[in-house]
Amino acid sequence: MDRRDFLKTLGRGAGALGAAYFLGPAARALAQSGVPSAGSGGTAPGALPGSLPDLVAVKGGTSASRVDAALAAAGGISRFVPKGSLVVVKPNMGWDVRPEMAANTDPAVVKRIVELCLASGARKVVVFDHTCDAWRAAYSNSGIERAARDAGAEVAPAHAESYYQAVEGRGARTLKGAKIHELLLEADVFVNVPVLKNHGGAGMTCAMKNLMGAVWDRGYFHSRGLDACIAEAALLRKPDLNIVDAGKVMLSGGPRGSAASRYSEQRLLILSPDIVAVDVASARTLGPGPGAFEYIEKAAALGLGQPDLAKLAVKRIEL
Amino acid sequence: MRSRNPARLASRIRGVLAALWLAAFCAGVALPATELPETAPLAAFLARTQPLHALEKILLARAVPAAAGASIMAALVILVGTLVFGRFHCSLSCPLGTCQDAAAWSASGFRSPRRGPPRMILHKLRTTIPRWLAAALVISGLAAGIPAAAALLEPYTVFARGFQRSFGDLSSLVLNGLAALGVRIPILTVRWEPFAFALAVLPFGAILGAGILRSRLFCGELCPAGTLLGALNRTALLRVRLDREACVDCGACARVCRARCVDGRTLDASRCVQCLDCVAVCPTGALRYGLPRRSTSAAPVSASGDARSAAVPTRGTAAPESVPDPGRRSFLAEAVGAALGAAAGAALSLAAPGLAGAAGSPLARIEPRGPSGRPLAAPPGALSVDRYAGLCTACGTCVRACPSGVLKHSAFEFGLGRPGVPYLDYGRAFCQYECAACSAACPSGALLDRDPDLKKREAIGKSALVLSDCIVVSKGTRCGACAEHCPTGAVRIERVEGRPLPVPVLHAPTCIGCGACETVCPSTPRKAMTVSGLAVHEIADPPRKEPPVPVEHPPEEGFAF
Repeated sequence: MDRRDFLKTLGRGAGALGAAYFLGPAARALAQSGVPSAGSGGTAPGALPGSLPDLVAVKGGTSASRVDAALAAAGGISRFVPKGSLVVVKPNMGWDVRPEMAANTDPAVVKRIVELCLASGARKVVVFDHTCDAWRAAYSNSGIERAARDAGAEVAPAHAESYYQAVEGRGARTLKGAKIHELLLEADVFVNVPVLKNHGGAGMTCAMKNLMGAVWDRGYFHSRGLDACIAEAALLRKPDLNIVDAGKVMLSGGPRGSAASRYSEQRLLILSPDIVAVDVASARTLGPGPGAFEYIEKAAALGLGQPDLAKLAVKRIEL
Repeated sequence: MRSRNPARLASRIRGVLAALWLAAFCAGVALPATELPETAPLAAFLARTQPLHALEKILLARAVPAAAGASIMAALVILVGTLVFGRFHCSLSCPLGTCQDAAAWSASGFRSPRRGPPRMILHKLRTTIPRWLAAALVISGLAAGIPAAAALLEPYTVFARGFQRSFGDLSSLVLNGLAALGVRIPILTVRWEPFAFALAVLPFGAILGAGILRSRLFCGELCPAGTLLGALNRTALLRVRLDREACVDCGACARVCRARCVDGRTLDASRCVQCLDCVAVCPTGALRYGLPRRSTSAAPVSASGDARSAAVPTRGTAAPESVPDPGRRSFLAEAVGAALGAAAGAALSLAAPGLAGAAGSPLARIEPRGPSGRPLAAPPGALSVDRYAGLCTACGTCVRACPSGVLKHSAFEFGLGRPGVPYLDYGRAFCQYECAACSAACPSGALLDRDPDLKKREAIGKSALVLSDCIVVSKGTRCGACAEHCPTGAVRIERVEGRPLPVPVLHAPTCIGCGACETVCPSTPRKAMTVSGLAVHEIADPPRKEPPVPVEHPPEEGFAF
């Protein structure tokens, strides 16, 4: 091989490497974008049929067995996740803290939900959160990134504004529009998987508050009135199913948690398609009750769900 | 392969190893940890292998041996290795050196073959003094707390900052462009900073440009590490050596020499980087790598009849006065340069307290201020702004290691003698409580890597709260973003008498200045929470153990609904 040949080979190699560097992610992205989805709400069922409970609460067992029991009692995952659907599982993984701090959703809960969605024939399950701390650190140290990937989900970034698209909040008075993650526009099924905990600003963070992690401009929520915006966030894209992780509940120092935080070992999981009902049950579990949180009342007034649990079929299971 | 010449093989192996080493460096520094955290440990490790920063960390930053293990190892390997094997670092493990080779090689088709300097001794005298003066400026500058020369001449600094800002920033522009066109790839959040770009790209580009024109010009005539290692190389046990009697003056060595340090008559050991290329091409074996030959005087005089070889006297010949000995002149030149350098260094060090010590000196500001007018905060591990900024060469290793992207290169806020020193820009992000990546990555010791628990207590700044700017008060809406993000419980949302809504309450002794509250504060146009950097870092009170109000524990048995 003479010098000229060597240079040519090298040039080709470098060219190929360069092309791979730039085009690899692009090609993967194109392959992943796939066919256009049917749009939200079309394939996902709304409320549960009459013979099944509206809300399921499971106490005891393990994180995974609570998920299994709750979904079984609610009629099985296939009621919520049709074959071939694109599922967004949106946990709370906003904080760069260890799972023991219970500031993020329990990775075992997320993992089991992803597994069940895929077993039910979901085309793809995507997990993301618009984190409060640095996103890669929060994804990784929450333990959720690894758990979701192990279960077969794709873990998507949500740290840049260009991932978000403007949608209208129909019927909203304060949050008339916002940019939400584009994956939610594509998703057939939106599974909201919050962790229940104390929250310095909102009092409690659970199902409705978790939607802030699907929105780009969180500062808007704070500056325009947290309660109104949290209540109206579900108007942007209502979750099809809410599964609340209340295994270890942070009672104080939330949402991040600190050395001063107090905890309650509830070993509880609450499941319902009704976002208001799960937040009411969660508020009772946390202690103060739903009356302490203005956004629950506002959401009920907007018709987003039923705040009176007595009017719902509630199934309580102890493992 | 044609070559049965072991020197040719050795020189090729060296080339391959150097290229691999450079490739690892490039991969390590190409993108910051905000984009590609996987390469951060590689980058931090490689930064440790560079000699000037290792010496700085051990001698000037006075890192305790336990925290400077890798630097001590690197310094020992390079110093002892140079004394035994010659100046190998520059041709093997210096990324900037190999970059220059790559620049020269890539342009080799466009320019005429290299020629050695016609008058080596004159060349030597002309270059030795500037080289030592540059080394003196760099070293005494670092010792005196004015690292500007190091920021422009320290080879790892020039490479790391230059490569990242040129390749990393530009490729992220391309990738984000593709993303904007609808290709779904992770968005890169690398920010365009004109000053940092210029500070990085100008020295790097100048040195690469010189590399295209004259190969390792920088290494032989400006590099402070090269000057020190070159002085050691003169006394190395094993190195490239020239046997003038065996030289047939074919000029092959001068044509291939990347350091332009050899022609048939002289070999300037202080600039030779031990690349072995000349040994590989020498047809007579006059150039070889090895121990000194014993009793050169006994060597037989060349009988080739070559005019120059006969004209140049060897040490054993009779007329030393009439034709000066190049070896001795070279040594004298080196000694003069070193002496001048030392004198300049000493003078600078003596003048330094006047230049850098006084607060408000334009060369070194003790309390640098940002555009907001508030004092800038130095990263954890800095201990004090003055100590940190006086040692920092702005290599950007901490900036790339930071997972949140809060670190930003300054312009001249820290003083004219301290360009580019990174600070925390709370407008874009905040310092992560659980993280100490910056101080763990810093190769120079400007940031000291200490116990992670100590980092969580190191107050780099202090928050201030202006309640009248807080939206809870000004707009009558609930908030609490600051308390949500505060990792130590220094800010809490509490009920205060006379306020209808719970408001933030700041407990300054617990505040570590991470800036989370400032970053997330939604108040406009003025944030209600702002952080001012501390000129001397403090140890904050431990995180508060007691919740602001008694916590009622709900029953753990049964259902509450």
